[in-house]
Amino acid sequence: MLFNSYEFIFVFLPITFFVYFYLNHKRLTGASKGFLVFSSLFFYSWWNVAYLPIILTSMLFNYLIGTNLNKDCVNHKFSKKSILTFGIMSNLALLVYFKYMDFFIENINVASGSEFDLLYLALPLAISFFTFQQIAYLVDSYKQETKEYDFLNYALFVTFFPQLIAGPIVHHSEMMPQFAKTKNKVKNYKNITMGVFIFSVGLFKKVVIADYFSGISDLGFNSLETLNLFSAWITSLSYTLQLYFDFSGYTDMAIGIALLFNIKIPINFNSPYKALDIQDFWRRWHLTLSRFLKDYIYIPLGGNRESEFKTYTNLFMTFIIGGLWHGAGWTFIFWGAMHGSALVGHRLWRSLGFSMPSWLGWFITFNFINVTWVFFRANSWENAVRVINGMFSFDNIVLPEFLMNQLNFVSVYGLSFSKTWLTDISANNYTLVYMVLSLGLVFIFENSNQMTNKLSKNKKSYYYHILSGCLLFCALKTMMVVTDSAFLYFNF
Amino acid sequence: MKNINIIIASFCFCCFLYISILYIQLGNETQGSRWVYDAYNLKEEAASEILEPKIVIVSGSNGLFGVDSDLLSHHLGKPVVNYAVHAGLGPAYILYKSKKVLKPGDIAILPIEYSHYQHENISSVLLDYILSRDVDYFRGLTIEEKIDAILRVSISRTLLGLKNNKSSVPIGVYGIHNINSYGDQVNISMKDMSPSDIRHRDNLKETQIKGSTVSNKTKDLLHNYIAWAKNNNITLIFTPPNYMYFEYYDGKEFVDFLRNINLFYNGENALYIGNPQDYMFDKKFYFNTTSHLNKNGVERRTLQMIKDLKNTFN
Repeated sequence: MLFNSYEFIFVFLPITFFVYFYLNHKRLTGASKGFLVFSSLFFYSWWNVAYLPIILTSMLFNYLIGTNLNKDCVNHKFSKKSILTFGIMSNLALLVYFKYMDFFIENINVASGSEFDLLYLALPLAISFFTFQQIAYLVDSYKQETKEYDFLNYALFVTFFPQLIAGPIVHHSEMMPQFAKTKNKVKNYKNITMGVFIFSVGLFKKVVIADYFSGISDLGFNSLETLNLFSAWITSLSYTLQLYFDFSGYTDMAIGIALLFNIKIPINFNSPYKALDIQDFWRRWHLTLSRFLKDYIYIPLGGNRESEFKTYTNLFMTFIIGGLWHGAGWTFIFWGAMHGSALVGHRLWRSLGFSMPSWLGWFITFNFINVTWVFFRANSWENAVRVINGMFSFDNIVLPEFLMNQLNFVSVYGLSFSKTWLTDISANNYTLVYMVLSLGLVFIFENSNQMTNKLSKNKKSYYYHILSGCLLFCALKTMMVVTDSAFLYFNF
Repeated sequence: MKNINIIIASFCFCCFLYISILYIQLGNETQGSRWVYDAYNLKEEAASEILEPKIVIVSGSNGLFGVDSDLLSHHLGKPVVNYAVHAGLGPAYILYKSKKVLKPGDIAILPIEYSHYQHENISSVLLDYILSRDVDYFRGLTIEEKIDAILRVSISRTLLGLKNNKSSVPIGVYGIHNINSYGDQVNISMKDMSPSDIRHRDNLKETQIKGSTVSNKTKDLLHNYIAWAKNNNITLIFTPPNYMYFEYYDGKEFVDFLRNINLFYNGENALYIGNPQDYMFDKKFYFNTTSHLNKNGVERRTLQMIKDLKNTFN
């Protein structure tokens, strides 16, 4: 079930909300949690019930391992470290089997000339997210940072539906105390209005903005053999905008829905395209994944505690793993390598005492990110190269036909005019206006977290509530016209 | 609680404002609907000038960009009006419009687009058209259809209508400056295509179908239309539309779909003439979409139609 579907907004969410608080009102705390777990599993199974046993088995397994890592439950046969290693390796094995096996087989076939059959396994929904979240739980349990070991609570921690499918990746210690608080078991109108506000913003981002650009980027990346200079840039910028508005829209909706239940989940985005350098970008983009990579990969690898060279290697390796986490493909690894290299380069640049004007830093960073998203988005290496070639090749420049009279003199330089200059990617002059407005939103305006903070501090913030109703109307109205589309991060 | 009421009030106000704007701008012209409006007027005028029984081509733009009416008329010995305009209008509206020009004794040739056999909802093209150019049709919809239409009009279209810019005479491919007195699209030879247009054409992909069944909505629509034609002494000849050939159309799903179309016409006792594969031509015969033929393609398709129809006419 998608957050941006009528069945979710008008059936699933209201029923879950009212039944959960009704059970709490009747002091049936266990039943209310059980109902929330049941609802979350129903929400998860809506896509494909075949995935349900996988998540249930994974949950049960990690719960047992976590219990064994509990300080009160010492197992004399094995050391805690061996149990932790076994737990992490088992989780990774599950992920590797479903997500990376075909990638490995393909590469072995290419490298050795063998002809092993591919498995063509369907990727269970959210496997990357719930696996990482549970690995974090095991490590936290090993460090004695988890405080309760009830299976129902654990199931709630893993399956809580707002963050189950695509994060934010949360820690046990930041979620479970919230469910335990008595005051969180009653409806809180302040949280409800804030939740509705941030949900409306997220729904608007997804349905009105991201889905508009998805049509253009899909055509540009998948349908065409050649792209002219403008259509290639519009394709890449469309994806850059689509990805941000899609994923941050999803996160806003998740945060908003969780707030309805009086649960605060961490933010994932903080205006990433305003970043002035690449390090700044990673402090603003997919924050909970960055936190995971830092805490569970970069620091265990040694972080910056050893030599400069080792720090650079750790940084680079962390981003290769980050790239691979997003998908089993060389384009994802290359994307990770580009970001890893950029972070190493930036660190080196800073250590040498160089600096540059803020505007130049922003300009370089944004364009670098825009180019790297091409590799992230493309289905194949050839597709990525085709788009990049279009972006940087000046021998295929097509201008709109209506400019022919004014600019005819440029024809001698090989530039041509056509009425279909952007129609290849289903774009037109309005697309450019829409793109400028959307870029303006990401570069200039406050983000949803900043607006929500203001809303929470200002009791008479009528403006935000009026805006909330308007955004909700625009989004629900747009949903009537377009078909439901899944969130991009559901693929990861 | 007060704040929630503000959100609800704001939402309701938006709904009210939206419906008001939609009704205020009924009949306001949009540029996008201009060429369709002009094309229908031109074709209706051409049809009204023919007093004897005639042949009328009824379909979306596969007919507009796909028939040489002069050649057809010459071989079949009857005057021809190409009343095909735009598939985006959907089958309900195309058939509704055709009733205005068809008179007793006429023959309607209907190369209905395959997408129309799976018609479900009112299209954005039709909404744009009826809100600006055929308000009577909008007013004539049932309450359910009207609500459905209002919900489906996009916000951008509503705002566009509000501007009420008097539309200018279209330039480019679409417009009556490129339609001849029979109603056929002209200026579609290879020399009218720029290298970029040719690249665009060569990049086109097949149109995928949604399962192999004919929708119930289309079945009802065609059933009623066939009954109307019978009552009015109008002969209907259904034929395959022209489509750019892709391997996909040889696949099981599409072949089953074609069989279901045939079964439907058999069940209705309606005349369906022609082998769909004979109307699928190579890319080089196309102009700017997968159903818009260029001049060479039009000739090929018309000759195929003549071959298929001649037996019936004899």
